[in-house]
Amino acid sequence: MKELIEYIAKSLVDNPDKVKVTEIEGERTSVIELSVAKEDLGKIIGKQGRTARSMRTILSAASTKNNKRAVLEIIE
Amino acid sequence: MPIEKEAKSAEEAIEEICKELGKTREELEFEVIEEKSRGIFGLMGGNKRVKVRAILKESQEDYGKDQEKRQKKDQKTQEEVEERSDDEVLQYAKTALERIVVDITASAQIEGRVEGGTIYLNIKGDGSGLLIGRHGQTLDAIQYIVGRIVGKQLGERRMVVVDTERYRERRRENLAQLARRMGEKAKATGRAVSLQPMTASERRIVHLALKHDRAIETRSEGEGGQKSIRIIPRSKGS
Repeated sequence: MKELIEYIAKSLVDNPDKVKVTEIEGERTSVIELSVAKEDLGKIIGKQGRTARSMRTILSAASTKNNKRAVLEIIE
Repeated sequence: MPIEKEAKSAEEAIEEICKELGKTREELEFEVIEEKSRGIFGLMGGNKRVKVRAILKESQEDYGKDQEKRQKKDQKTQEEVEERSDDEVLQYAKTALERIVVDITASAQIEGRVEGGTIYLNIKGDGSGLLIGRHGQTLDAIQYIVGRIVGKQLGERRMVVVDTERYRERRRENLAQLARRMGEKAKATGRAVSLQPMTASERRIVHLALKHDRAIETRSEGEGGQKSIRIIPRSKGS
C-alpha cells in the first residue's frame, strides 16, 4: 500500500526524488505518511483537496483487499 | 469561455446568450448559477433575476480563462513536444491504471482505445465491485488520478474515462430513469425535488434527461465538486 501511494505521488509531482512515504503499522490500522517538496504540496492536495481525497479513496479500496485499514496523512 | 447573463428568467438569459454568441441552443451548455427573487415568496415576478452561465459544448472543462494564452501555449507545446501517437498515449494510461488496480483487485486485465483525444479504459473486473465503490466513488477516484498522471506525463490534459463491468453505462441509465421519476414527482406535487450530490458528468446526464420537459426546470446548486440538482416545477406564468 505504501508503494501504491509512493507511485501515485511520484507520478504527480515535479520533484519525485523529494517524495517520502513511511508506513507506521498498527494492529488493525496503519498510517501512511506522505511528504513532498513544499512547492509540490498543491499538486498532491489538488483543487479543493480532490487529489488527496482520491488517493484516500483508492487507499481504502486497496486496504479492503488486505483486510486492514489505512489512513493517509500528508505531512507538511 | 464561459459567458454569463442575467435576465428575468432562465429562458430569457439563454436567448440573449445565443444571440450574442451567434450560436444555437444545441451548441451550448447552460447552467443556472444564481437566482435572486426579491418578492415575497417569489410571488412578485417583476423582481426576479436569474443568472445563467453558458459554455460551448466541445470545450467543456475549463476551456481556458484566457483563450489567447491557451492558443499560444498550444503552439508552444506543438513545437516543443512531438505529436504523440494514440498508441503511446494509451500505453501511458494503461500502465498507470494497471499499477493502481493491481493493489485493489487480483486480476487486472485492461483494454483501451483513444477516440477523439479521449482515452477510454476498461478493466475486466472480478465482479466484486471493489473497483467501483459506493456510488462509483472508487472508480471516479481511479479515473481522476489516472487522468492527472497521464496529464503530467504528456504535459497536456486529456480526458480519461475508466470503466468496469459496464458501470458507467448502467449508471447513466439509472440516473436518467431517476431523473424522469423525480421529474414526475415534482410535477405531481408542485414542489421542487432535490437530488443527491453528484459529479459534473452525472449532473449532465440528469440535466439532459429532463431538458425537453417544459413543465420543469433543473438547476445545479451548491459549491465545489459535489453540487446537487434541484428539479423545479415551472409555474404557468413564467
